[in-house]
Amino acid sequence: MEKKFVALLEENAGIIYKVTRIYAHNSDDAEDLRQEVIYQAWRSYPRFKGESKFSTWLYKIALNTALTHKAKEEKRRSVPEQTAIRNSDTLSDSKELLIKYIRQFNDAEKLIIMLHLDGYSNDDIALIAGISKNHVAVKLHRIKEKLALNLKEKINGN
Amino acid sequence: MEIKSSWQEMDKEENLLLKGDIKKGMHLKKEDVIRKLNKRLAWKIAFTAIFTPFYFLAIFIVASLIGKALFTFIGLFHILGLIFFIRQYRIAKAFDPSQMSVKEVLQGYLENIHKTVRLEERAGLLLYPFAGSAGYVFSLSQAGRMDEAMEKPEIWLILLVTLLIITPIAHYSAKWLNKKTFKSYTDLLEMRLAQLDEN
Repeated sequence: MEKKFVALLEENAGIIYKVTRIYAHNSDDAEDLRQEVIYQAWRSYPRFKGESKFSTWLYKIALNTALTHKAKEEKRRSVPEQTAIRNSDTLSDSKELLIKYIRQFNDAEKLIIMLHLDGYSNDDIALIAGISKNHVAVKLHRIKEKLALNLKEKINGN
Repeated sequence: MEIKSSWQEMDKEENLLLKGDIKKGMHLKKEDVIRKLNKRLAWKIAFTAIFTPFYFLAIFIVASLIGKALFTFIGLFHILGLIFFIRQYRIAKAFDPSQMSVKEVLQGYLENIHKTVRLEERAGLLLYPFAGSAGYVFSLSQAGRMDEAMEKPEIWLILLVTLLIITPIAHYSAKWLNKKTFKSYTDLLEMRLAQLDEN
């Protein structure tokens, strides 16, 4: 069971990576959050019956963990957000910029835009978030507007 | 479209998650707020289960009727507390975030904290005066001064004044400690819940 779990997690590493990059405040916090997500997933894994895709199940756990996670205050203050989150130097500028913009949204908006960008339908997002489909649509519309505005400003700035 | 593909391409990056990270996470020792709270509840259950028989034992040791009545009340109260603590612990342990929406999880975490803290505070508030009185009566009875105490109202006055001072101090200290421990966390959860609900 352990081997299978590790393999599945490696296959879906991007989910944990993106959730920690978006929600963690700094490298220490990213490490804490990453381990907490893995711990929660491992704890819940015996109850995973394959009714949904593993990636959806993991996304749900990762988001639930991120939204109930509290960064340690001293860590939050001690290291600035940009420093040394692992792999940040491996991403291209456009991806870093995208992460930067998504990080500016509030925690609920981050959840919605992440799932949307990963191809989840509004129905799926509504189920994962626990809000109505209409509510998701309204929020998503606003988030997209903000994101487009930010990108436009960036392009104009360049 | 470009944003979406940029985002999804991140999944293809290498070394996003190392085997060492996975193993470390699977055997995580560090506890989050909820696991700490549940552990505290488990300790409370253990302590209550260990000490409750002693209160019933005290019923037979203490000679005065008032002492017997106080220890009977405390013993029964502890049994009731034990039932509530176990019930709350089982609910908390059965909580499975993988089967719930983010909103349900946030609400569940908040409810767990509020219920547990409220249960502890209320139980304490009701118990402090009786536990204090029982201890006082027990000391008097052990010192062989129970008959004297029955005749001297000032002895009971001392008890009353002590309880009137100690009970609120103990209650508000517990409240303050709980607030210090959980307030910033519950505020954070409430803020995220409000963000989900806001239009």
